[in-house]
Amino acid sequence: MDTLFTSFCGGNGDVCNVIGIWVAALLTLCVFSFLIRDTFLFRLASNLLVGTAAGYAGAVIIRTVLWEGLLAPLLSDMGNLFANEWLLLIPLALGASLLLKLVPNWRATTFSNFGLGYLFGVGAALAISGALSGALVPQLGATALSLAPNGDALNMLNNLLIVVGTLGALLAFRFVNVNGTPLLRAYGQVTATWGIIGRAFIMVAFGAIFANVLAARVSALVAQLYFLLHDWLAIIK
Amino acid sequence: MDELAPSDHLAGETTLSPDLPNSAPTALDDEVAMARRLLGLPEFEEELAPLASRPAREDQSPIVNASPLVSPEETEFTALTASPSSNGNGSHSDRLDQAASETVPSTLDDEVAQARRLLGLPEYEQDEAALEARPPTIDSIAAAQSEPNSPSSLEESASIPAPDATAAELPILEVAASGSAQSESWDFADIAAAAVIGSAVSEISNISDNDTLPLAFSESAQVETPSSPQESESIPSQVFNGEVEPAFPKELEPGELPEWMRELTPPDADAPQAETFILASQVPELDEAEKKELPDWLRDSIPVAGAISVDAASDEFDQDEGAFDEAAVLAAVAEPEPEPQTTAALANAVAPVVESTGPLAGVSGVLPLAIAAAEPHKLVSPPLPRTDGGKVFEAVLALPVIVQPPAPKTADQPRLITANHLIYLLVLLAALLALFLPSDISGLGLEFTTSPTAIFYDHVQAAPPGSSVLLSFDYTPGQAAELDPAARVVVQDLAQRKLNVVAFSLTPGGAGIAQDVLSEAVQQNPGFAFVNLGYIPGSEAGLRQLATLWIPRDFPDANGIPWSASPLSSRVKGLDDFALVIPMTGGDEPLRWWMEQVQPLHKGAISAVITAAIEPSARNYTQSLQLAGFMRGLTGAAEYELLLNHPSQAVRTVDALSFVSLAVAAVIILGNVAFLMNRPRKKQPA
Repeated sequence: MDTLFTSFCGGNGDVCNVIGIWVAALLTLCVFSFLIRDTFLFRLASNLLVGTAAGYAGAVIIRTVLWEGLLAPLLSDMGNLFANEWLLLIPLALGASLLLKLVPNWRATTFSNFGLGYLFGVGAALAISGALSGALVPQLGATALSLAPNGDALNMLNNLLIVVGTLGALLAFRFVNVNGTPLLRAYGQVTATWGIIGRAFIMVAFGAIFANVLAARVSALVAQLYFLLHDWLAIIK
Repeated sequence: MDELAPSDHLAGETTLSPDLPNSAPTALDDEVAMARRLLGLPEFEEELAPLASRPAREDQSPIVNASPLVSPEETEFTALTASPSSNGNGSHSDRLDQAASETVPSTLDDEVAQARRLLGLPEYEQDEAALEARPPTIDSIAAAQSEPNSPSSLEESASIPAPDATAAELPILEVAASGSAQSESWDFADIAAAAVIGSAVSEISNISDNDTLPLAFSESAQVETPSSPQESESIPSQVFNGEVEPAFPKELEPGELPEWMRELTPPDADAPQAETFILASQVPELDEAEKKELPDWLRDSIPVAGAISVDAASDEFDQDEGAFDEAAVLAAVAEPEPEPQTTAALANAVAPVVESTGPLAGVSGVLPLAIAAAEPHKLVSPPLPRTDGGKVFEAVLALPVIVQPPAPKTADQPRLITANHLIYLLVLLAALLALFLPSDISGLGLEFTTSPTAIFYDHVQAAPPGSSVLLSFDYTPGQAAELDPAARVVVQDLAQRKLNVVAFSLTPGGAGIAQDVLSEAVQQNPGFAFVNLGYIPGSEAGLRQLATLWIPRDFPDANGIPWSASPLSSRVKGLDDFALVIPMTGGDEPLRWWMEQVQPLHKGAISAVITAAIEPSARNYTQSLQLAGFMRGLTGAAEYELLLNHPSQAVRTVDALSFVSLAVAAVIILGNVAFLMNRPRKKQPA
């Protein structure tokens, strides 16, 4: 398959490139048709995108993972399977057990729990360990800032804002009504007020995220327009 | 107040006035007639005539017995004794007198029956359970509070009614709970007198703060209830809460008046008699010792009262300042009472009770609630008044319902150009205008010296030539429009600086993107060497394995060549052998995987190429020194090009990005201003 494609486009790279550019440009225009309304062309382009992405991903996984990573080694050395490649039997069995989920028999689906359990266990372990060592501890260390750095007022203000904003954002999700002694009530009032300030910081962060997302989308629009004008129509040099 | 001995009781102290009218038409007649009308009864009939022949009783004075101050031995009050009164003027009092003098009701039932006949009510069956469930009498209270060996004969007494209950709430048929050996059937006079005295005695019960009733209460309150309603024709007395049941003195012969009644002046039959009740002030003379035993309020003359409020157990008597309100009693008297010597007088003495509570407060001659409530009467609900609005409403409801045909739906006419189209057009024009700007003025407003791109640039420039750099193309084709310019400029720089690149991808589509970018760089830089490992499965698990174990020697790359066959395999044994690690990611998750799974294990620096959408997350990692630097999408690519002094596509497109951002900001501001101007104003309060 690769040879056929390469033989056609390898010697005629420009043709393939041109075809690719035209297809991309037309699909881009189909997507732009959504600015008028939800047209057939837009749905065609979007469905093509979804299907192509899924098909390409499936093809890559089947080739690189299932075939080259699992089946090809097993089949190439069937004679010494249990001597050299016996470890590959384990992922083969676990992967096959996942397919048993499709069988409408509860006894069969019970075996699929082995593969699912392995996936869940590995994923949970990686998530927990990564969250602790890669997120929680470093972020806590980054928040523990000195509020009195060496003679730098701007840095001090920056650290103060970080500390106040971080703690306020955490207190914004505290929904506890504290009653009792006057000290407890004062504590509750302070934390509630700090939570309100934290909500303001959260709103500012949401605004910054919105602006960045808008910039990302505009960047995609501009890039595609540049493609149409430079690569397709060659208007822009 | 000291407890009074039975012998210390004054005889006739709470007796009826001897001046009770007996023959002349009085207001009592009117009150009775009114009561009968209220109950829906016909006019009073002559059925009570046989009652007039009831023999008078003089031996037992219920009045005397009712009063704790009356000694059964000393008092022979028979004011209420039903001596036949033959005034014969046909008045209601005469009829009562005659009816009362007919027979002596032997039991409470007889008295009730008699009363019913007087009022013209039909007979009713006595309910034994109802009789037994009568409220307790004073005797029972006295028995409970008196000495254990008190010679009270009221063993059958029930509990005493609550002091706060009004006498009107008590059944009129209630007499003593049990009879005594001395008790006989009441006659009309005795019972009526007992009612009168009981009202006055209610004050006695209030005197004692500790609610301790005098011993005489228990001994004197011995009244026998009538055996059957048919036998008794006496109007039973009322039991006043907290008061003492009338204690019967020694038996009197029929027609015999008690001594204290004999001393009373008989009323003049022809002259209208004031309805007065003489209470303690007109009792027969007492000994000094007996007077000392009296409560203070009885020592003083009690004003004459025409009618005694039956609400003897009301709260006013329980109040600390609530001494017997003589003025109220006087005020309650509406008509002079008939002569107590006759049955009619007794009836008048009993009947004209003044209601002190409820809607009939101040009205005299009110029938006791027991009789009124016991009688079946039909309640007729008055018709609801019809208002004009109600009539109109009914008229509207009576109209036939007209079903309106559904309104024809008008098809929505789609507008050719809407506000959204205008915004789209504005954004498109802003982008096109910037793209057509001359290249010499491109890159307006870009400040790359202090941006994060400069730090990233420094890290890339710090990698020595000939070293290996690890690139991760972890973005999808949908994000390629923003990251491809950045990836190209970085790869171009690495290729120009003769750095070896090992590329891979955590997404299936990233491997193809990597191949395109690297192939383009090779065409522009022929000496550039790279290895595309392709798709690494497992997401974070694969990344963790890559960070710990690297890749197996026989791991095939995107072209199917094993890793061991690559010339870089001899230089790179693990992740630490790379001078720089640059993940290029468009989503938050791949960046997090790198920070959580790789950064804790990698000793070198990690600099990322990201989109503008995840810049806030990248700044957190930069703040915590987990990320050495980052380059943000199209803007970062333009800055990197300017740093390389080689403006290209990124610089041309960043102007369009700036123009479009300005246009979008202007639209947002104008929209908010228009919203504020057109916001509905709050209505001013009138």
